Amino acid sequence: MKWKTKDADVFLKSGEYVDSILIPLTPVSFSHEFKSSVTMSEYTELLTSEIERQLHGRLFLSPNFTYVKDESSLDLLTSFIEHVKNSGHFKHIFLMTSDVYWKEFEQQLSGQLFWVPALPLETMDEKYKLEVIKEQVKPLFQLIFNDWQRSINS
Amino acid sequence: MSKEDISRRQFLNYTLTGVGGFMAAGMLMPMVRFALDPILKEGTDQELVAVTSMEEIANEPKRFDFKIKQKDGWYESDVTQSAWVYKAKNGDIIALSPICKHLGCTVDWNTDPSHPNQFFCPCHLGRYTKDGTNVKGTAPLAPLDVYDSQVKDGKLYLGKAKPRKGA
Repeated sequence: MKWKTKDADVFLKSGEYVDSILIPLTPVSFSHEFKSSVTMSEYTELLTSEIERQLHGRLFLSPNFTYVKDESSLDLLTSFIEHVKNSGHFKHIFLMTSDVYWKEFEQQLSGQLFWVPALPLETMDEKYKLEVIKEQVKPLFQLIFNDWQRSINS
Repeated sequence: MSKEDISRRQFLNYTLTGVGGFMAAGMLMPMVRFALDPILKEGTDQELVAVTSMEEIANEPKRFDFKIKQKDGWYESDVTQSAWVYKAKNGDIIALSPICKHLGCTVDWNTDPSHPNQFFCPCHLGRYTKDGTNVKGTAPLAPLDVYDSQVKDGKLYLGKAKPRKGA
């Protein structure tokens, strides 16, 4: 499900089936990291939208958590996740980014972090691009399914 | 003789009504056309898209991804869609939409080890038989949608996915 009115209505009606949220973490910068943050954001968005497409009925794709990298970004993300958690809707919280910055805080974040380095997709042709994205998200599905499986068993 | 049959008054009446009528029609026609436009457009909302060549279609369902143009307000975008395509026993090509009728996840073929040769939805464990009929007792309440399909020059073209009546 996406952050859209149409999906919001479904969510209000069938919310009990939607127990997972995926939060894309996308950096913003207009100085020396400008181009790389654009690439990372774009790549993260491509992957998350593909995951959302396939798990539409159980996974909510959150709006991007967009941050300017500084000492407050971790606190901001923590309080965002806290809010999501306190809503009581989501048992499974997944975070997705191409920015290696978050890797070192992995343990402090309550949610499973997927860090996937960005690939230069702009040089690929459409068909090949689709293939690459399909391959890239495959293992991520496995991680999500494993997480779901664990909650059935526990 | 006959030239004098028409009076000056009549002549002016005819020409003025004629010209006025033309002008009115010129103004009204586009208005009517605009008003009716949405009705005239319906039915041609999605063109058939070439998805794959016929050689790639087997008896086992195979997933094909393709792109269509979607309009959302003024925003036009390319949207990826998938189809599960296979050849039925009688030679028909069946193209099923992979969108689960429960809440819209993408179903997979033959991925649930305890129920082989069925479509399986990983989100809420919904199942469908090979022809897309929903298995009773699982989450979905309707069979998978079927794409409008057409074979031309050895290629499979798919159109819109249409719902079917429930089992």
